[in-house]
Amino acid sequence: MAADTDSVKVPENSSPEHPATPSAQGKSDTKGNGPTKGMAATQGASGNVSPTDDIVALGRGLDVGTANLLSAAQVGDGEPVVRAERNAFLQLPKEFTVNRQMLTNLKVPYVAYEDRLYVLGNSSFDLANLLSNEVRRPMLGGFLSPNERDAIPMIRFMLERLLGEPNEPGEACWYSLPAPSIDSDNDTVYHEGVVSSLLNKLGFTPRPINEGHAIVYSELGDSDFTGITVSCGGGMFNVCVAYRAIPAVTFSVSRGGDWIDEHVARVMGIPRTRATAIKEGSTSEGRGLNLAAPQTREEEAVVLYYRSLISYVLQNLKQRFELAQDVPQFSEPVEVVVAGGTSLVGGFTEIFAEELRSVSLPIPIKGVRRADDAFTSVVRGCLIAAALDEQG
Amino acid sequence: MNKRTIRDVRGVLDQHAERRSLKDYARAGKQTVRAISEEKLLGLLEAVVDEAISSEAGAVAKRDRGRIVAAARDQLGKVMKTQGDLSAKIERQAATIDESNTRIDALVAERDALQALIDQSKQAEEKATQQTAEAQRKAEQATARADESARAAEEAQRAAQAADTRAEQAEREAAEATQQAEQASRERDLLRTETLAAVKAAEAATEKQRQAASENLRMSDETIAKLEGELGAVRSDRRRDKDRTAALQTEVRERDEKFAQLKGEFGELRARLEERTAALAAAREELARQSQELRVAQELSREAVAAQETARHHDSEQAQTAIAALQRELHAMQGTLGAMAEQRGPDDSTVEAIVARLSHQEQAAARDLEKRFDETLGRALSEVERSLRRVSARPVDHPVEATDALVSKIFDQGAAASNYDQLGIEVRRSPRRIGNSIEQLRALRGKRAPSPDSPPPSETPS
Repeated sequence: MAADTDSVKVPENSSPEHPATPSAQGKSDTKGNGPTKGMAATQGASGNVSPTDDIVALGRGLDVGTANLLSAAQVGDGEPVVRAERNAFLQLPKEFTVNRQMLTNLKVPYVAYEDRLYVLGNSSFDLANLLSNEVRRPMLGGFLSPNERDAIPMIRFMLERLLGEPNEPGEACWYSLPAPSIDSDNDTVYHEGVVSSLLNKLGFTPRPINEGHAIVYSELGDSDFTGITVSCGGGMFNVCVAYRAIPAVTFSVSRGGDWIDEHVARVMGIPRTRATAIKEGSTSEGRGLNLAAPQTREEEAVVLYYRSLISYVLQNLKQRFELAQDVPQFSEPVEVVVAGGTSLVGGFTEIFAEELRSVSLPIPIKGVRRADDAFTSVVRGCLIAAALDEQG
Repeated sequence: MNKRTIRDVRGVLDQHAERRSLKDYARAGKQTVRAISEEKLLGLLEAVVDEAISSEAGAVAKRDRGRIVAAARDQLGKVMKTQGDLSAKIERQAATIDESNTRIDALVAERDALQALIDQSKQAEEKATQQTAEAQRKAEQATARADESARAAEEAQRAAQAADTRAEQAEREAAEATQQAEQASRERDLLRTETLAAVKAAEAATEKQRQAASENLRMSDETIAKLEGELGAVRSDRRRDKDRTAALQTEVRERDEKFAQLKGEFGELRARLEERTAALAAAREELARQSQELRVAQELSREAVAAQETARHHDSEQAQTAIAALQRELHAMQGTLGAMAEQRGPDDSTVEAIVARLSHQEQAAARDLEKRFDETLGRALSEVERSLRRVSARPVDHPVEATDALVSKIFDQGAAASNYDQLGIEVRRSPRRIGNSIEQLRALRGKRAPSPDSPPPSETPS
């Protein structure tokens, strides 16, 4: 089968473009417009989008992640256009509520809700630093946060911003859903119900798809959609073992990039933001972290916790293989593909491969690779599922 | 007994007392009358009540008090013992620490003294070195004087040789010069000897001083080595003592932590026990309730079955009675027919007609009975089913779409004011196209021949 064209290799030592945690800003080629008419590009205040970038096919993908929300649609000839927003918001002090024009001039998106003013997404982090305040997160550990009372309205506004209006009523929107965790008592029913209801209200027909399964769609086309995928997010890691696009084993663990930051900060006695910056290679030293060659004690601590997390995931995968009765027998070696913001750190695939060798899974493994565009793997997989749904 | 109680009892006694005079008793034929003093009666009542209360309360209180006191005594004994052990240990450790500190102080003083000795020997060494340098300088000076004398003697000799060419004066002068030269030479030798002696003496003195200094140095080195050895031993002893002290302190801390941990665990176990006891009580209650319900259901079921049986039996009896009656009637009729046939002679057609009519009537009656029986049975069975349903009814779960209601409430609050239409949003184009993947999956679906109604690969988590 022909490989997808225009695949881009992520250099090992580059800084992640859209990491799972707050400090770095993402890069983009163009700036698109707001959600007034789907994702069709009309001239926006800062837009330089080509007028031919109209959406050509029905179906939307949506990655509902702890750290980032992403939406995708098809433009051109199968080219996906992705919109991303940090999954965070900031309530502004009262003195800002009378000066909204200033926020617009500063290109800070806000929304007024229940007599309060909120800044959403990427801009919330900048303003939080400025105001010495903390951003609030609607999601925790992969699911809607039970402790955040404004979680649902904020998710609604961000989804409106990312998706806009459907191109036709009831357009299919496939959204990512984590598998139940094997190490915590989380319940997908409430989360799934709320996200489905929100998308319904926005005029879409919602369909959930397992996060790991979405990566199977987007990354394993050359392997007949057979292999193992690991979505490495900020709140959790999702694993899927698929055979010809059918998921045989899916599970998640409630540890992710945030878990690494928290533990490194604790054992090193440093602020958590510093631990995050070290992990993402965005310290003032300007040198990116390479897990295969740590330079400082703090970097060694990061490597330690990365290895611990990867080993934990693989041990549980091995146990699932040994306990599950309906795991397919793979006669050929299969590929392992990792994706997600937490996998963007340099040297990740090397240490993943090392840990994989020491675990000795009961199936033959061909190799480990990172998705070429690891940040958008999940949302592209959701878009593929939506396109199949709409187009048959 | 307090006054109020006494008044109450008095009131009761007054209420139930019968007042009569002695004359009335005499009139009634009573010879003797037994009288009880009201006060004594109250006293007896009080005594009885007190006895009853104190025996009951005393027994209970004594039992509980004894148990509580015993338990408290045991607990107190344990705590006191533990506290005593820990206090003794702490005192021993404190004593050990004091001893170590004292020893450390002594060793430090000794070290200072040895250091002073070392300084003194160093000073002596320096002094000897200075003396040696002084002697050497004197020897050099003596050598320089000897050289000068030698040069003077040579000059005198040259003068004596020049005087040979002259006459006797020259010889005399030469002889004199020779004598002078010899004298000078003697003086030179003497001087040289003296100088050599002085040099030798100086060298001897220097050598002596050097030896003394070397000896001092050797002694100082030995002393220093010895002192350093002792200092090392003192240091290692001190380190050992410190380590031991730290280990003991750590042990005490660990014991304290373990004690606190055990206490915490004890509390947790107690809480867990209480929870389990409560759960067990709740389970027992639930079991009793369910047993009761089951009994009721069983009774209802038995009643229904009995009703059904009764109805069936009744209908069956009725049917049988009716059938028996009909049969008797049939037999009677047949008898009558036979008699009639005998009396009138054979009339087959008439007899057949009558028999046919009787059979038809009988069949109709039997069908009617059967129909009534079936209806009764059906009613009884329905009643039984209703009874069973009533007994086994459970609430039906009706899932409510709470999330829809919640989300609707948020949307019903109306559109929020925002500046979205004035601002753009970051857009990135992924370098990976999806067209091929879509085609491949569509082909895969075709190979698996999905039915038109088969769902797309929507995954709820496994």
